[in-house]
Amino acid sequence: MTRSEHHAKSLYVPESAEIVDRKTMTNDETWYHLRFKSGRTLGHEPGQFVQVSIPGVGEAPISITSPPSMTDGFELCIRHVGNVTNAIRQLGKGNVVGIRGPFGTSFDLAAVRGYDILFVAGGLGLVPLRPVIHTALEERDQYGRIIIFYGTRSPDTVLYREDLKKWQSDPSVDCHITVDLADDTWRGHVGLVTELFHLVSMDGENTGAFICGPDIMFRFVLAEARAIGISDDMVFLSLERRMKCGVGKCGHCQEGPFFVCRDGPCFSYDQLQETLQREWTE
Amino acid sequence: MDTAKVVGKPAFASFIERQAEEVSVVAPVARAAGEFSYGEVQDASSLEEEEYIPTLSSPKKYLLPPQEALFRFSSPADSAVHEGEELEYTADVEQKRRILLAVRPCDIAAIHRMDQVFSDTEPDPHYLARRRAAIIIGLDCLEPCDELAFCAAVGTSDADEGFDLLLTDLGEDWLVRVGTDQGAELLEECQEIRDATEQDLQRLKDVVQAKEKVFRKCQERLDFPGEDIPEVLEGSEDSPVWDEYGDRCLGCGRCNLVCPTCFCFDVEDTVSLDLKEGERTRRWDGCTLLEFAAVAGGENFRRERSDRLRHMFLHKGKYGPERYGDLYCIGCGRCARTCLAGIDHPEVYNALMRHRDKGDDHG
Ligand SMILES: Cc1cc2nc3c(=O)[nH]c(=O)nc-3n(C[C@H](O)[C@H](O)[C@H](O)COP(=O)(O)OP(=O)(O)OC[C@H]3O[C@@H](n4cnc5c(N)ncnc54)[C@H](O)[C@@H]3O)c2cc1C
Ligand code: SF4
Ligand code: SF4
Repeated sequence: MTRSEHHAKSLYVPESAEIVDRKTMTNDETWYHLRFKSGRTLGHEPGQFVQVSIPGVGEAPISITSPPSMTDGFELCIRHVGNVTNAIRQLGKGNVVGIRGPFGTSFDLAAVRGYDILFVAGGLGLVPLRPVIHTALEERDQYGRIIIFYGTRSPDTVLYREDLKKWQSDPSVDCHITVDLADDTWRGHVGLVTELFHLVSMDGENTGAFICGPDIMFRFVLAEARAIGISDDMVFLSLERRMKCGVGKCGHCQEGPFFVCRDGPCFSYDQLQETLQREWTE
Repeated sequence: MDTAKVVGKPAFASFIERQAEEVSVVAPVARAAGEFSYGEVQDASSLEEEEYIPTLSSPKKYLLPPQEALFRFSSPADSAVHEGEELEYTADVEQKRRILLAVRPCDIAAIHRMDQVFSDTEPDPHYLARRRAAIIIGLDCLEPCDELAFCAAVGTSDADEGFDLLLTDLGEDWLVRVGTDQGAELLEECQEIRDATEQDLQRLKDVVQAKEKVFRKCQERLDFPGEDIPEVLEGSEDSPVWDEYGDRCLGCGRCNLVCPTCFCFDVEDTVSLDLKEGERTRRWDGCTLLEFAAVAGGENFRRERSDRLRHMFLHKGKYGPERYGDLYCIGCGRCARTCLAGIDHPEVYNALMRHRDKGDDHG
């Protein structure tokens, strides 16, 4: 059945997608390569998400972690935290899940063309930023410096090790990783992701930033971004809110005037200023 | 004006009775003294109700049922639905013809707002199918329901659009305003009906004019014009009024359940005992409930009752108008009638206004 036939029936009916590959990334996260049974390509932009269904269990919004240039299926990285995300853990290659989407707004790379780009990812925040980083690197000459800050809890929670290794050895990329808590094996930086701002000198006025991480991280990272002179309309972030429908109907993801699933999840800091400020002062 | 007809009340009543033999006709029915709810009717007696106050639950339930299946799924293989076999999906969209009778102007306005939400961006096929199959025969109110209604304050006590037919009581007759082609078509089945004369229209004008005076108190429930609500809410986020009312609010969600413009829903899967089939269901939800904005990992974006109550007000009085141009509170007073803490929306708006003025004085 094609998507449009599905659409005519119900906005809420998922399409079948096969798990063509999966890899354990950390204790809590698994990477999946999915392909629609119908053969259609997802056709997404970096920063968008899909609704993943395990019928009988439920549905969860998950960011698309592969760049649009990958057309043989798409990739997800899922942290197993609850009903749906644990149910998918039981599935392997050849199994089928339900997918709706892509949904939501994407990260506006066009807005930073000609600028330096700073990516700041906290924990799982690397997942929606990865397709943006890949896309920026595919069109490397369009941008100035590319700087990546990635912070995570501990060495065993580092995601996308291969990507990170590649970015760290790429002379055209300035990639820094930090962990909150180190172990014996860790040779890198220890501390919060905000500390990385002091390791690298940046030309804030000519920089655009893409930020994703837990809500608590945003406050501090946004303050750092401002401190080095990045203007609010050049800062882009992706929000995580409770979502049920993904299409601007169920109301759960409302953040101030926005429905995060429809008006987001990617916003400019400019847009969110008022709303976030209120939340933080409470 | 749209075309208008006049029909004797007995003739219109038999028209409704004939319709009720063929399609579902629903209207407010008295359940107890001062308590009405929408239900199936066989005749037009709901049109003659003198002591009407808004039904406990609004006619919204016929367009967005309290609970409905979004689709069903079944496993053709010999395995449970969640085990990763390819499933079959079926989605039936209900399209049962239904006449919503005696819908008051406030509820007509509410349905118009629901239409906006469910046809926005990604149209909702379930709602829209029911909406298309519905015929709205409105009934103009000639006096306010009770002291909790404030329709006149938010501009919904007169209906100008959103109905197929709208009835106004002219004593022996109904004056029938025709709002849509569908309404005109339906009226062809009504006997002993004639075009309204100049004289009839003058009577209508008189009746409508008389409303203004009768509704003055209802209008004055708000200390300022209803169209200023978004402005009064602007910058009210830190007002102590939210703490005051948030303390009283129980966070029970009853107001959301009875509100004709609340559309939020929760989604849940259920499966058969053999785990081989099931359905995904949506169910009304409420933004005043604690878990509404909570996510896995313990974060809750509106943890305090005051945060959630404020969100409800901002949604109705500011975000809704900003997106769609209409207030999302239609002044029916259902929330206040049902609230165990006695929270009355105009009272909250007035308090915000007073605090704002006080703030201005100080600086
Ligand atoms: C735009 C967006 C992108 C996301 N991307 C990813 C990703 O790439 N990888 C990943 O592992 N996680 C991601 N998440 C978080 C993920 O959606 C939740 O962890 C997941 O919904 C939890 O569902 P569950 O059934 O396993 O947990 P339960 O706690 O059993 O959840 C029950 C229900 O609560 C709601 N819910 C709970 N937590 C969340 C949450 N954090 N966000 C939204 N709804 C929630 C869901 O509606 C879910 O059906 C994303 C969330 C959003 C909003
Ligand atoms: S305002 Fe009243 S009805 Fe609504 S949640 Fe609070 S106590 Fe319940
Ligand atoms: S908020 Fe209260 S008065 Fe306003 S439309 Fe909803 S139930 Fe009616």
